[in-house]
Amino acid sequence: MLMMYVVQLIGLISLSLAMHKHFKSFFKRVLSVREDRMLTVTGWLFLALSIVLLTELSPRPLMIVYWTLLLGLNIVIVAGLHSVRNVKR
Amino acid sequence: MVKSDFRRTMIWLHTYSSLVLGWLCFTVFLTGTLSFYNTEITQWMQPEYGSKASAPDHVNQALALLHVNGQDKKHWSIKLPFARSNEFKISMADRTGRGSRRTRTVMVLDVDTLESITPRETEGADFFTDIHYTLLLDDVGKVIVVIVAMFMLVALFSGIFTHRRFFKDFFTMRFKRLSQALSDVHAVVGIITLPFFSIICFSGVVMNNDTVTPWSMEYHFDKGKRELTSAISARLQDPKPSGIVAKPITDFSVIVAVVNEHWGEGKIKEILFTYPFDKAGVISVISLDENTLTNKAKELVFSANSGELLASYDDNDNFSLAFERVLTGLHEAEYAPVLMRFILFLMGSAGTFLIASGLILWLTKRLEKVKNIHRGHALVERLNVSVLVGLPLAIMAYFYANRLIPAQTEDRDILELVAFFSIWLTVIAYSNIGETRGKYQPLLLILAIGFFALPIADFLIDSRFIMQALSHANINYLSVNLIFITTGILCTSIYRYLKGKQQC
Repeated sequence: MLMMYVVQLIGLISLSLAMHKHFKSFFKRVLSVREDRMLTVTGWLFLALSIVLLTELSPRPLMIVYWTLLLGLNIVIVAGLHSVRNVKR
Repeated sequence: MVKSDFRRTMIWLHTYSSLVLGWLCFTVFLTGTLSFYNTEITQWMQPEYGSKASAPDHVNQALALLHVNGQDKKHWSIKLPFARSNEFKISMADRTGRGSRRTRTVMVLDVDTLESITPRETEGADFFTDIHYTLLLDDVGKVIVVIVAMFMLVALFSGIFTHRRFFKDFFTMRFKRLSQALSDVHAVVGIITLPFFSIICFSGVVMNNDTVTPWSMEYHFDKGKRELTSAISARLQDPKPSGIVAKPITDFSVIVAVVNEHWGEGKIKEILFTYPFDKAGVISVISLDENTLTNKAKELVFSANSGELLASYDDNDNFSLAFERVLTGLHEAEYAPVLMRFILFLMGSAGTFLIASGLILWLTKRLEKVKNIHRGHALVERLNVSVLVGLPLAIMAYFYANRLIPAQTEDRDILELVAFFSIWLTVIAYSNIGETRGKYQPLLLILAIGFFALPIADFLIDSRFIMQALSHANINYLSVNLIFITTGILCTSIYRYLKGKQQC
């Protein structure tokens, strides 16, 4: 389950970095179209992979609840990361 | 006045659907969040149950006690301790079925020694659960709670359009100004709790459909919902006594072995004997609600005299009933393992914060634009203080009353409720006297100190319980104390933040 959690977190971080504002804040340069596409695809792929990993775990109904709840926690982590960087700047 | 533009309409809807029932929403969600730890909190409030591990052969020993004390009774039951509670009870009754309660004799047992104990009289966390789904007003309260849930759903989805900037910026929070920080935290909490709230509110509405719209059920069935459920539910018929006297089993090990084969070890929650002294008597073994979202517990049925496994029934309910049971299961979360229960508790707390921050935000934004406080603003401010700080203070008082009122006092459960309502009424009175501003800080300070001091009070009033919990690593008992400390830290942080901003 830890694996599912980490994969989901990577997916969300990747999706957030596909946004110009956050990419610039992290890498101090402008996001190119190619990078935008790559980060978006990677983000969605990792989210999809986390669902695939979930189907391997049992009992599946409980894992779906876990996935949804952990998504909320991961959003807080990503939001926290971006906000802390913005406050520091 | 509803504005023509769609987004502005959504903002209007979000603002006023949240405001009208916001205080009720807060009450329902705070008490509901506490209900996720209903069993653990009740265990803390009845520390006489102890922290020691269960005796290995407690089923057979409980059965021996029933043989001694329950001669010629028509109904026996054994409620076993499990990971979340040390509550161990046996009961005997002269009647079976729904009427058995009135003739029931209950013995509460120590899990270690099996001696009869008398835990202190308290409503425990069931009190919070009652407020959560009935507001202590029975069916009228249930209808109000359903309306609250519907308003909450409207507020949630209209909130997506209201806070759309947040989706654009992918969750950036700004902390410079109080109203800005509140608005952003309100939005992020709204997003993370969206699936949780949708399920909780929707399932809450579905669970109470029989109270809100009973007409169709009452038209088709004389006994309404009960008869409808019985008609579409997959269950065994209640046994009929044969009139032939027979002795109930004395060794439960054979049955435990069969149960373990079906469900695995340690999954028994309750054992019910119907007509134990009759040839046709049966034993129903009920499982713990684990690994399944439905709230329907699994059941195995045995002969009360031979211990032989009897024919089971088709486990598949009617689809609509199964759907309702899954929603009820999701709402009550009895299935949730330790980590999931904790995350659900966090989600509930976040949701409660969402409502509170929304109510404060409504006022803060308006007060930024006016020089003189309007009567409506004053009303909202007073209601905010009365409920957002008043209810947590009343809950804290309820916990203190549980420890301060001597365990053997008559009607002490009522005295605990008196403490709860007295403190709440005091805060309501305080918030309505004099100036509206500056009421949060002293109350938050009391809350912070009070919650920090609760585990200390627990130790000073009777150190046996917390020491026993420490020596036997009773996580349930200790985690309740940990939640008190965390609440204290949270209240201190909010107090210091407000003091720094010199607002509220």
